[in-house]
Amino acid sequence: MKLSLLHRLLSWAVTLLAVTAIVFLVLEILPGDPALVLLGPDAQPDTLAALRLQLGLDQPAYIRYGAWLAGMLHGDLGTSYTYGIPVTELIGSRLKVTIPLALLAMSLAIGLALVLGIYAASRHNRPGDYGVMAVTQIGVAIPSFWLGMLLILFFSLTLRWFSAGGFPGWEAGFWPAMRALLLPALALAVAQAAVLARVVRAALLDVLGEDFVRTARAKGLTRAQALRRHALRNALIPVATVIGLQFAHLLAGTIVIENVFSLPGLGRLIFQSINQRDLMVIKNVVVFLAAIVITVNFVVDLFYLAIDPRLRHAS
Amino acid sequence: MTTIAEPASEARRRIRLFRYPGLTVGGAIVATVVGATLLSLVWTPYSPLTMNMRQRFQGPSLAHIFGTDQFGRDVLSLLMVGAQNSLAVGIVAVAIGLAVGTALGLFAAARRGWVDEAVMRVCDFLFAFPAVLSAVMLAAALGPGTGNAMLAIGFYNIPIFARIARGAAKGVWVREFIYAARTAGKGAVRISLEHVLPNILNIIVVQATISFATAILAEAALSYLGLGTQPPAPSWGRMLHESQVFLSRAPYLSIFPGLIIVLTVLGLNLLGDGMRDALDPRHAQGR
Repeated sequence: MKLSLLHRLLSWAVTLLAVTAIVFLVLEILPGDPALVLLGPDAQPDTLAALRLQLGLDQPAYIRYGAWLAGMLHGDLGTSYTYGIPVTELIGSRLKVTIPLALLAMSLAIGLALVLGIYAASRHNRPGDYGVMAVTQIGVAIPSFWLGMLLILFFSLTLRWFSAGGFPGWEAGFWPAMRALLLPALALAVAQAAVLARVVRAALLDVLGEDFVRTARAKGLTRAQALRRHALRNALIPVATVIGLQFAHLLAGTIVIENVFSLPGLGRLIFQSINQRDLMVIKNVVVFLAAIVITVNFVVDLFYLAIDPRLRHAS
Repeated sequence: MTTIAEPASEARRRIRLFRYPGLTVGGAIVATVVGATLLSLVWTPYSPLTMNMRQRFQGPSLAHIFGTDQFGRDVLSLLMVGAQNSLAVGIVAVAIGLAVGTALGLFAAARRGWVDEAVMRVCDFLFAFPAVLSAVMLAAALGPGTGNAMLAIGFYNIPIFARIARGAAKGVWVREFIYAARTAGKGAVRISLEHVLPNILNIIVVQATISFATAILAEAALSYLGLGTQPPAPSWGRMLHESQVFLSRAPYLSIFPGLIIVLTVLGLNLLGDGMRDALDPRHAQGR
């Protein structure tokens, strides 16, 4: 157990290091001259030279990479060229929007998926099941940003129940802030819920065929009782794994959705930083998002290890 | 004998086709989209790039089935030409993922041991970069464009194909005809190409269809963000981005491009699922 935990921890650390190396390579080496990227092709040579010195570009690449990593370990990600404030501060303030948005979307997705998946499994091969499967097929095919636009059109512009975008900030109160996040979260959640509902249904159908469920039925439990008391708990193991993996996609989805609803989160920050050529922000936010994806996968791995003793012995 | 046998087998084939409605419906949708795209290479109802300010914001009518946009351009013509871009990105992105991913998967399955472990760790690493994140990096380093969108979505597809190819290939490597081929003196590369690949091709083709659908969604999202296809080239995602400003004035500008994306992705997913059911009936029964 300890050995496999150590093995996974090492693998997590190596992957994280590789991510920083690739991000550095693509954003600092591939474009040729980061100073030129920042100032644009019309920049004056002396301005370029001054910026190169300020960014430490006169140093060899491996020293700059080392300094970046060392800074990261100390919580120093440098200063944004555009905003003039530390990148950690910038990321911290934007996370106050992105994390609640992702969590709300994930909760909505899980709630919807459980209802649809359990209903479909309990109506296996009947019209209700076919109906849910058809709905999930369509749900998977809808681009989240388009769904976001449709939600704005219906709930904001036609019914006027919600604002069409923007975020009042948590200072305005919990409910006004959550209200601003509800439509974007719903737009993000639908596709995830569609995928997850199929997993819930398939996992439940798998478990319903197991001997212990048959025994429960033989004891006199109805199909619905057996599903609720015995099958559901066992089916949640694969479902939890997929939830973990989907969180990564959801986080990437926030980049698009935050732009549809003009939410001041990490996604909007990274997008604005591209337009402003703020490489310092881009490289740190990309590493930050990739690190969350890797860490979530790592936690899913640990979760697997904790619940399945066979995996512990295998490794 | 032959004259009697032929209609019977034809009828059986038809029955087999209708046993998988997803295959038929998905195939029909995809054929229509591909047909319209090919047609747009030689003909569109109106010139997709010519502006006509007198005709701007015309709602759907017989003259303009999907209406006209803020520059008076015919939306149907724009959607037809935009499809060229979506399909091209999809084809190239899936080709990158399929070629590199399948090769990696076959390699890992053939060599096993630490090579297998290393390939899987590379896949874990690539999984850390969803397509949007890779596209953000490439756009920041090299500027936005269709090529970068293709690369970003292609990279995202590599670990998906690698894992599927590896899993399926491992199952083939333990079969008896592989032992026979090894006894005959064939090397790992020849066995992988001549015996393993043909046996896992079904799974790869099904995954390619499903990945194609994902690629179309990703391309639309990237173009919506301005990281994909650049104007004036029409693209579905870009059309949605431009239409958002006119959401209350001309909602049809947002509705039709979105519907076309949903229909295309739905068609590809149905086709992929239908193919999987037709090629592996056990899967269809299990669902």
